[in-house]
Formats: sequence, C-alpha cells, structure tokens
Amino acid sequence: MAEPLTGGAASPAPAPPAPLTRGGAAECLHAWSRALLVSGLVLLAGAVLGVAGFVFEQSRATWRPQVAATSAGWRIATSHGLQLGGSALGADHLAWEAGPFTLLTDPGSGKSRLLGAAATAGSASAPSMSDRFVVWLEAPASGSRDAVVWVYEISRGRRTRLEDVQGISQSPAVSGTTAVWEAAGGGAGSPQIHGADLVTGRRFSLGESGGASVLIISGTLVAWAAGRPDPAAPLVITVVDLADGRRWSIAPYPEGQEGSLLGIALAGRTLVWARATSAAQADQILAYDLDRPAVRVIAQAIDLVPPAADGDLVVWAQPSAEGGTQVIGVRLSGGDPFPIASVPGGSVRSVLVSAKTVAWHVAGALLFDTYLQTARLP
Amino acid sequence: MASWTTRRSPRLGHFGQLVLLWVLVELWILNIADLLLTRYSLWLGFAKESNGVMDYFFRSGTVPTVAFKIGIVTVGALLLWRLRHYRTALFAAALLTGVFTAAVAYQALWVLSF
Repeated sequence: MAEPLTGGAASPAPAPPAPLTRGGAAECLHAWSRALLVSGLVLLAGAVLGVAGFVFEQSRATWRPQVAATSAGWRIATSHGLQLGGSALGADHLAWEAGPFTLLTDPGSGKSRLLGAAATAGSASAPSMSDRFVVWLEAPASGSRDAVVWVYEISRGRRTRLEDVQGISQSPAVSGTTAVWEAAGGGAGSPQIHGADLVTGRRFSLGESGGASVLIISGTLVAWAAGRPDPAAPLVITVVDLADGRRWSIAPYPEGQEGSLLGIALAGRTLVWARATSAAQADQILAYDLDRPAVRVIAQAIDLVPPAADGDLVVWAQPSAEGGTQVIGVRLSGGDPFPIASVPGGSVRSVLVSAKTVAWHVAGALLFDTYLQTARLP
Repeated sequence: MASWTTRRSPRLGHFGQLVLLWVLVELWILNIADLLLTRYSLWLGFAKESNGVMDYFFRSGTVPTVAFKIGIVTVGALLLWRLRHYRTALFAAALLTGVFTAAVAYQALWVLSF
C-alpha cells in the first residue's frame, strides 16, 4: 500500500467547484487581471534595474568627449586615455575617431553621439562626411573577419552596413550622396575602388587602385594616390570624374627627385596637394586646375600641415614666426592668403574646413593631450 | 504538523499560480526579445556575445541559435510550471524574469541610443 506523501492530519477535502455564474466569471477575470498586474511589477523592477545600469554605464562612458566653448568655436578633447584620430567636418557637425569609437559632435550644442564602436580590440578608420552622411571603416582585431564600411545618415539618425571589405582598405570617403571605398578585388585580389549612391543604392567600380594610400571624393571627382610598380618612381595621383568617366594621372613631384606626398584635397575642380621634395628647401602646396591644366604653387613653408579644401577655399597650417602655428586660408578664385587662427602651443596635425567652419587637430606635449578646435571663418 | 516538503518550500495558492503563469509567459516573450536584440547588436558590430555557449550557437547559424535559446527557456518554463505548487518556483521565475527584463531594457536602450 502506498505511503501518504504528507504526515499529520489529513488535509480537508477540496470544496466542490462552484457553478459558473456571471459573478464567478467576473471574479475569475479579476483574479487573472490582478495576477497580471503583480507579474507586471516584476517587469517594472527589472526595467528599472536595466535603465539604471544603462544610465550608470553611460555616465562612465570612456568615449564621451570633453567639449568646451571657446571665443571662436569649440574645443573637443578626449578623456580616459583615448587618443583623438582622424576627423571630418560637414553639415555643421564634426565626425571623429578615437580608438575603436566613431563619434559625431554638434559644435552648435556641444553634444556628441556615438556612431560606432569597433568590436573588442578592433579599430575604426578616420571618418568622412558630407552634409547628409558619415562613412567610416571598422576593422576587427584579427584578420579572420572582414572589415565593414558603415554609413550613418545624420538627419534620420540611422546607421547601415554598406559593405564587408576583405583585406587592408583605406578609409572610405563620401561627398553628397556618393560614397567610395577600396576593397580587394576577386580572384587576384588586386585592390579596386568601389562606390555607391547612398540614396539610390546604385553601385559602380572605378577599377584597380594600385593600393591607394589616400582616397578622397568631392562632387563628381574621386582622387586617390598610389604607388607604381617601380618602387623608385614617385606616387601617382589618379583623378576620375564620375560624370563623364574622364581620368587624370598626376605625378605629385618630378621623377628622379626624392620626395613624399603629404596630403591631397579637392577644391571644386582643382586638385591640391602638399609635397616635400629633396630639391626644394621647404614643403609646398600646389594646385592643379583639371579644366585648364596648369599647376601653381599656393604655399611654401617648412613643416606644412597638409591642406583641406571646400569649394574654392584651401586651408592649411604652417609654423609662425612667433613660435606657434598659423592656420591660413586662400581662395583659389583670387585674393591673398589670410590668417584664420593662431595656435600657440602643441603641433597642428591636420586641418579641416566645411562651409563657414574651420577645425584643427592639435597634439600637445603629452601623448594623450590631443584636441580639436573649431572656429568660424572670418 | 506541516510536512518536510511543505516546510522546505511553502505551498503556492491559486492566485500565486496565476502570477507564476503570467511571469513564465513574460519570461518566454522576453527571451525572444533578448534573442532579437542580441542578434541585431552583433550584426551592428558593437556588441560581443559574452556567454560562451550562446557565442558558439551564434557562430553556428541562426536556426541552431533560435532552436537552442527558445528550447532551453521553454523547457525551463515548463519545469517551473510543473513545480507550480511550490512558492520557490514563483520566486525563481520572478528572479529570472526580472534579470531578463533588465537585460532587455539595457539592450533596447543601447540599440536606441545608436
């Protein structure tokens, strides 16, 4: 005979089920509702915990920059030992990279938004931006996974994956609604320049890049610099007009001279580049009008900081006689170079320009003492 | 005199069982939300699955991941429902659901903040 599971006094016999009446059904529904309400309290407690954790984490986020107003604009510095990397200006916003993070800062309000965080130990490229889009490359820590070209649409606040890129790739670039990037080709794996219209989704290829060291786009013009098969030969800058397919190949310095290309920019339909050659005592910035093939030197100084351009305005930085660095601009349509800002300490690494805003990236004496400063054009 | 079992885990009344049922339903739905948000965060590239078992399934593919994640929580929920007469079952379910809610709320805010 089976042993009873419980000892002691026998439990009372269960009450016979009450006949289902309207009152009984209402009571049953009431019990279910109350039970739902009580279970909702569990959800509420959990949600409060989750929100608190998120807020706590955000308050201690390492990516959040220190933004301070200056008399002419903003000064943006990183914290927690993050080093400020490449940056871009556009649409009254500043996109920048610090370690694995890609951020967008509104200089009007000083508020920043995290656009991307490369996976653990990964890295992000310098971003490029137009009035509508920011593009950048996130590379994984190991070569076993592809790097990813990301697009962020500023007005919609929407981030989308544009392309998975194999091998080493340069920072992608964007102008208007057109993005270009470098990717290893199929089969032989020779790198190629690819592009896409970010609104229509139309894709195109500009052919082999030769391993671009820098890639830029402005309007319908795409330019990149790459080495030649002969390592002794100077780099070549290739410019392609997406509108009609025309191509230009420009040697940034004469063959037979030792030299280096410091940077390139597109000012309207003028290619601008900075070079250092063994023949010249100082670095030079040159401008080449693609429609009226003619080269002219627009700046010459020791330790020139590579130029940035927007429309017909070219901006660069050079050491000043007083010991600091001078940020200078010139309009290619005419006029003399004019001073934009004076940077008393540290060394200027790069300059940016978009519409009426100029920015410069300063590296101080200490390793992580880097900041970006913006100013409105005079 | 109360039995050994009853003293170890007090009995749950009818109302408590109703609460347990709702909590288990919520747990099951939250599990799906957690799966979707994790999958989306991994795809976005800013998250890394720190649970080794789930990381293995995420690498194996979508179908094994969905089958494992839904399957294990369904089995767990059914087990807790089987033990619905005990107050401990309600406590365990509430704890699990609370933790899942916190994780889902945190992930949802992360995704929204991007």
